[in-house]
Amino acid sequence: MKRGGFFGQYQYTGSILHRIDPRIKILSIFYLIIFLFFIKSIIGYLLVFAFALSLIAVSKVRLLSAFRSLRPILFLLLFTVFFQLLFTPGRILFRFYFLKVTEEGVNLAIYISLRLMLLSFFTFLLTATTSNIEIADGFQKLMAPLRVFRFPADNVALMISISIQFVPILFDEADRIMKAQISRGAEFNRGGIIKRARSFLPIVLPLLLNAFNRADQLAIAMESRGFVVGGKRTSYKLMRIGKRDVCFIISITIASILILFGERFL
Amino acid sequence: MFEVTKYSTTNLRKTIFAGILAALSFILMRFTEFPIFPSVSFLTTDLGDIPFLYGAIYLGPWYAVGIVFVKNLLFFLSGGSPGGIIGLIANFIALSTFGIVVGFITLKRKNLKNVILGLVSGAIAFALVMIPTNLWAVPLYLPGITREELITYLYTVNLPFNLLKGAIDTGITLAVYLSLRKHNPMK
Repeated sequence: MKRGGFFGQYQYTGSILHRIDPRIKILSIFYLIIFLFFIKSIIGYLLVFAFALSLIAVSKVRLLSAFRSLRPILFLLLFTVFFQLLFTPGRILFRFYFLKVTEEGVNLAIYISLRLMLLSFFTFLLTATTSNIEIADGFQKLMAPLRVFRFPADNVALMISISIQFVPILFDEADRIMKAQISRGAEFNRGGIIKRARSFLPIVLPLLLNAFNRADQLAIAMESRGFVVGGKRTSYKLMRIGKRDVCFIISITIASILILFGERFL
Repeated sequence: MFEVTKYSTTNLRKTIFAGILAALSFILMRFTEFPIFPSVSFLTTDLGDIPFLYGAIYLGPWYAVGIVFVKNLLFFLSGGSPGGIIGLIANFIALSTFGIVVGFITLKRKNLKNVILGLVSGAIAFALVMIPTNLWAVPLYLPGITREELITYLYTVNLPFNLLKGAIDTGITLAVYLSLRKHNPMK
């Protein structure tokens, strides 16, 4: 895996979707994901599919990369399609030895694969049009009102930004330690389950010990610059809800109403 | 070489340590994947939960929940979650339970007895919570499945598998705890 390929979904095209407030984007994607579960027919899903494709077109990201984002769920997708095709009782379309494919099975398989694909497409739309920093900032701002309930929003926000920064660093470190242990004769793909699990200890222990020291050094460095968790902070980029964001909310609302009507009457 | 020095305030250091542990969980899932039974190659597990359980012991239950949340957020951002967003939510519920149980049992004293007790009961709680979680999550992906089929699957395949996964996590976390006992990061 390439370095920096961890969060490699983001593609900057400068489209209108990229410039929408990250908070609005996060909330609307979550809204769309929940909305997806209220749709009960294939026609409804096809309408949502058309809507998702039009959003991808507006965002100008490559269509191929949207389909590539399905790769991690490919196993799940194939498994569910296979399961629904073969194990749904109903009117038999054709049989192949002991396997029988029913009409209901075909319908359910199409229905569920559309649902899974759309779930992935919507999360892809968020991560392709919003950089990690924007998403982290967006979550931070969305969590801020929860402070009223004594929810440690500042701690969680700090954890999010620290972890995003540390992923590439720790990746290099894990890689280096693994190679160092291999050069000393460590083997990772041998033996039974306990032996295999234990063989990873020489990687996990140094990583954890380094994590203490890094945490302490970073904490000292931040405190010496006057950082206090939960202190009043200003940010370089201000988030403001503008006309564009309002238009986006309105169009998503109209689209979801239209989809519900289309499902009812088509 | 590994002198652990502490000069910073606890709140900031704990938060940063938790953030690093979340990143470490994410990284280890990719580095340490191995099959549970060498003959069945697709049924794999990994050591991604070890940093999180270590954090649950030393940072307490609420930091553990925070670590699981951030780890799942990293998966969401990377787009690499094999179970989609529903899988992430199910993982968050189950691992939070694990972490809360471990964190509360080891909150007062972090001696060997409490750590073993916490990890074992946490692993059992984790496997048990997976049942109602799957009862909710699986029909979202497999609407054709009947409730009886699902319950049979949960008790015959899912529960033993999750207990085994919990046992592996418990064993390795215990080994890590014993090796690093002298360096309590939060003393």
